[in-house]
Amino acid sequence: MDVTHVSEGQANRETSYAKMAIWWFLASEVMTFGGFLAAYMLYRMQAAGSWSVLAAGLNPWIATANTVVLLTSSLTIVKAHQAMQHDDQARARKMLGLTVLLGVVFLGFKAVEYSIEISHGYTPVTHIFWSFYYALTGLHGLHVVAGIVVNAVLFVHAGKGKLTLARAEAAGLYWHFVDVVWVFLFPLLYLSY
Amino acid sequence: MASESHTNYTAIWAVLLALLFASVGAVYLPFSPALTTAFIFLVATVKAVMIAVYFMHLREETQLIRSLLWAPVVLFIIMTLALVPDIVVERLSDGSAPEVSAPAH
Repeated sequence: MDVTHVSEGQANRETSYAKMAIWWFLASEVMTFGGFLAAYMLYRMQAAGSWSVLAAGLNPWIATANTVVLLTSSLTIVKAHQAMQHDDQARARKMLGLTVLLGVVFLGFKAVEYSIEISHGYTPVTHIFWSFYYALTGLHGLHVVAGIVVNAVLFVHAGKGKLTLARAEAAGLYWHFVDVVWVFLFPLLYLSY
Repeated sequence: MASESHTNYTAIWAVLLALLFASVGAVYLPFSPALTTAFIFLVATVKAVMIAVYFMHLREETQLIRSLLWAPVVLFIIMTLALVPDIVVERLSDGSAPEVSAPAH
């Protein structure tokens, strides 16, 4: 029995199962965010531009900085996956560490933004626009927290030389999805009329 | 992804940042709100597709996995479009948008 072939076969199956599982999960996530986004877009259409006054209370510059942070974190996690394709655990660990750090920076910016908005009197009960704003960004923020936890666990695994390509890929797919959601949240909340 | 990708990820990231700044800058240009809105959502869609294709390696994936993504996206679009007539009819019958004002601070 060729042990090497068995091992490669198991690794391929693990990759396949992990990938299928994460894509199924992401498909359900599209509908989770989709329902919220559809409701927000329709309410905003109904308001016929009158929500622009409310959206002016948001800080687009902090959000722009946060978009740069998330896009950069997508780069670092795809580099972690690339490193694992060469079984370079040290480089994967470094890139996962950077991804975790950028995730924390994103949450830090978001916390600053929330505190500014609340200090100006914009709370979830001020108006339905702000209810949507806090619900959408809060749900997204929870996903960022979950991604940080997963990436931190994989960072520890890589430090022990136990990170697998399948896990690096699954974590990357999830993190990119979180990035894609923000790519749409940003113009919907901060740039729309 | 079954095999190693030779995508230049840093170049993709640079393009994504350029698109981001283009959409932010468009808000400050003297175009109509409709044109600006169309532009920023076109840019957002391009960015999302780039992330899916290059970072999530969707281009190299099987038809099954691509279907897993497209099915909910199409459902989301149908769900949203199906509800639009309700909103339009309500606005036509009502004739006015609800008034809102920013809180004093």
